[in-house]
Amino acid sequence: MDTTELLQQVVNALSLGSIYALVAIGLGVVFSIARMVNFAHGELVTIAGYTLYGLFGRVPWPVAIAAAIAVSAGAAVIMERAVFKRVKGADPVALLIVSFALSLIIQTVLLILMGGTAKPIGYPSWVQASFTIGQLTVAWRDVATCAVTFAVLVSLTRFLRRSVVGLALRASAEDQDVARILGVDPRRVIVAAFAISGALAGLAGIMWLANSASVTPTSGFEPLMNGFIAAVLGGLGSLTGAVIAGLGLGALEIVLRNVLPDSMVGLTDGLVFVAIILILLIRPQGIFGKVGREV
Amino acid sequence: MTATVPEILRVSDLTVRYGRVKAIDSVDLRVGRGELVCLLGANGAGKSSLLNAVAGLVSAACGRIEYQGRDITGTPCHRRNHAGISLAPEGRRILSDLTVEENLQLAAARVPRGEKELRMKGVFDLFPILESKRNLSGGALSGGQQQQLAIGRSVIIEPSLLLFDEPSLGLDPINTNKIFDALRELKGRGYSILLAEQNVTRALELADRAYVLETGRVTVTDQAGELSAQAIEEAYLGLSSDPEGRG
Repeated sequence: MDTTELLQQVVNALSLGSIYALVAIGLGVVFSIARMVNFAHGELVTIAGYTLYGLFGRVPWPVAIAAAIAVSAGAAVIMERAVFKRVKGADPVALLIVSFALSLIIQTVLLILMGGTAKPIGYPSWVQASFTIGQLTVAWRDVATCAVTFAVLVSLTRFLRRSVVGLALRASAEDQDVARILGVDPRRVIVAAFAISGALAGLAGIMWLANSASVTPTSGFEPLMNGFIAAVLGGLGSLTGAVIAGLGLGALEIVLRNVLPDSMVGLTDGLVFVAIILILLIRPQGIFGKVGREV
Repeated sequence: MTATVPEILRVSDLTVRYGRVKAIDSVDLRVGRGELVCLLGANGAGKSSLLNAVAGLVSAACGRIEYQGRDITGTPCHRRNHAGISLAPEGRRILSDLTVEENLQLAAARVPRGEKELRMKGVFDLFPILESKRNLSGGALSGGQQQQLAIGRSVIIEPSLLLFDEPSLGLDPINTNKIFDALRELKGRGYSILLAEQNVTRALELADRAYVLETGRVTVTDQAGELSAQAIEEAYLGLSSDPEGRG
């Protein structure tokens, strides 16, 4: 692999890993507060895709993107208010089953409403365009993905450190009783967590679906699984862990696809899982997870 | 309590259960404005459960809690805080991932923006060490400093009723002195305080009145200066023969 090819793969890895990181952070934010992994998170990615399908070409693209993020955030809040709120405090396994069931229900509803065939998303032409630096070809969508993810991470970090809602989220993640005695309304915190999580899923969906420029009812599954792996690998609820694990996962996937002989490329996902299992055997709490605490 | 001191808190026939176990059993208690009332009793007597019930962290199985003349028995914990009830819980329970300043900022979230710095300064005046540690995470503080932060965090909203749960627990004599000095200062500023404390001698030096709890029931109550050493000793050792007795 020459330098140009290596740089090309670095760009690809950063782009893919950024999306996994956004999904992982979204899962982690909800897990920190609600102590559950929301497997219907992938459907929020899908919902963003269908929003773009409906709006691109009809409204200016920044409006369509803002709407897709807002719809995903709204859908996440509705999920919490309509479903998860009613099973609050249930056994973690029960919560897991509820979120799987919700995921399947949303997929089925989308299948009935939108059909099973892929719907084209009319991204602006610049998204699919690329530019060259020497022999290196870089897609604008990869640049946008990395830049947006970086900006979101900086903004989210500032929000969590400087805003009252951010402090309330961090406090609730650490000790919900203490947050309550300090005047934090637990209902508002959980709504905020789901809204942030949904917005991040929407953003991830916009960038993920730019690769195929189409959406199906199951489009959210792959980013969900990889985001979930990144979240567990980084230590559920750890922002830093989610980013590093997401980028690492993206890098590992890209590297394996490029170094494996053609006959073994199909084993990429399997080998990624083996690597993850080995890491979790050494650090079951994830890279940045804390022993004895769920956050 | 003398008839001239208006009540800020009245607990009537309060029972708290954890499953089938009664942690608090038909307790009556009053705190007057500006009073420091002490809850004494051995481990497991129900002091923390009573404070947690007043703060709203645990629900009452039956009975009534009135604050400033209003029934708050079913009021959520965070609303009780907004109404002016502030708890410094047992074991300090500092938010260790937040800095000292962030712990205080969160507690002061509802304080008007223009007053926040002043309130923060008030806490730092009470506990100067916290100012030099304001950018350290709560988890990096010593036990004594964490207790100071727990008290500072509860005081920053200038509450109408302060609930302190075992503030000297696990502290060395120097830090214990600092905590009791702060309690004396807060009492002097006119705060109404309900204090659960195992350090009986120090607590009674400050208290106006005291209740002794034994297995969830009030066994002795009196003006702090009138409580006999024997009555307290009996309650701590579980020797009280008359659970309704008034010392």
